[in-house]
Amino acid sequence: MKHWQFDEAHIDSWAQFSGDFNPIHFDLDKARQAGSDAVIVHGMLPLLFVKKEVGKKAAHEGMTADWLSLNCRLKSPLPRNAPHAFAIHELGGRGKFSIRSLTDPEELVRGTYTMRTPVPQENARTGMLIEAPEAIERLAQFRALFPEIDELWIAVDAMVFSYFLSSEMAYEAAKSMGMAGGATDQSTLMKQALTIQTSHAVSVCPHFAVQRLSGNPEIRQIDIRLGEPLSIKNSDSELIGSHTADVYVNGRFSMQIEIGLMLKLLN
Amino acid sequence: MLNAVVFEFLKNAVLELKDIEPEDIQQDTSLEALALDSLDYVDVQVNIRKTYKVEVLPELFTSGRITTIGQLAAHIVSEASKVGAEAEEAAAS
Repeated sequence: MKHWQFDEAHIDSWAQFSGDFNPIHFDLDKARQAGSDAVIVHGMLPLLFVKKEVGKKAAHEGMTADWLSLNCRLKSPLPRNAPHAFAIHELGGRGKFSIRSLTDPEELVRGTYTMRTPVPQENARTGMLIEAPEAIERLAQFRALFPEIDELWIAVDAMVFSYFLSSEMAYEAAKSMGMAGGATDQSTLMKQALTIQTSHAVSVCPHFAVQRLSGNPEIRQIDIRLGEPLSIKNSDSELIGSHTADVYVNGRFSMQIEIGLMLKLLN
Repeated sequence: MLNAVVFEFLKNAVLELKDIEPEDIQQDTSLEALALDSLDYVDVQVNIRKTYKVEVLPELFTSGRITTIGQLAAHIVSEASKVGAEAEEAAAS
């Protein structure tokens, strides 16, 4: 078991890397307006460390012959500056992990990991193409902000997520379901709706999983191919969706990333 | 589509979400006993839609029409066959 606590510096690092400066991660009043008792940590921030620990554990267990697949569910946001416990265990032949608060038994993040080769999506199209200079610059930025994380795949996963955040995909999904209201783009939609990341799944192929940032890996191109998003109108004010990206590094299918989102229209 | 195949799919989906042993999930296991929370239902809904192209809306559970894993599997089998028939009709027209 490991004990983690995420503070202002961690939050600032993730905000700088991802571009997510939502005030609920910085300002208690704004966090309260969104229904939280405390300033909350970005969902992806603890997952950086989860992926590092699960990757180490999987390698220790000899799970390096096939793709490593992690599926993380974000049950509740982690409050800033609060102690949390991370644990990994095995049940029913599955590797499981969780983050719990040390002051409350509530499970905040839970997930599973396994060896599973994903199938590339049919009809996936290039959504973002990151050429060498930009990729190298972004990876260097990641390394400077998170020096404790050396795994290339975790940095690329973070990079893909940040590109996803800056895209209009959530808005397009809301619009297609008739739930965009008067919003004309993603930024105006975010003022009318609360967007919650509910899950994050990542699969990484064996050759890519072992590459380290400190080894200065050669990155010529990162091609992020997006499939058709899946959207379900759960109620008149709630939309759930799932977006999957196949990631080709230097032309080779190296990762598959799936982001689960819930959009709640504010009254 | 075999009900047993869909049941195994649902069983695996629940095992991903809860700390329970595989033998604790049977056809007549109630959804209430599995203590799925709202985000668990979201997860299951998305997986069903992705795999079987079937939408399972919350009112099916809140109305009491579906209360067990077996009933949910039967519902998916029934709805998936309609989706398949509609796709075949669209392809033929």
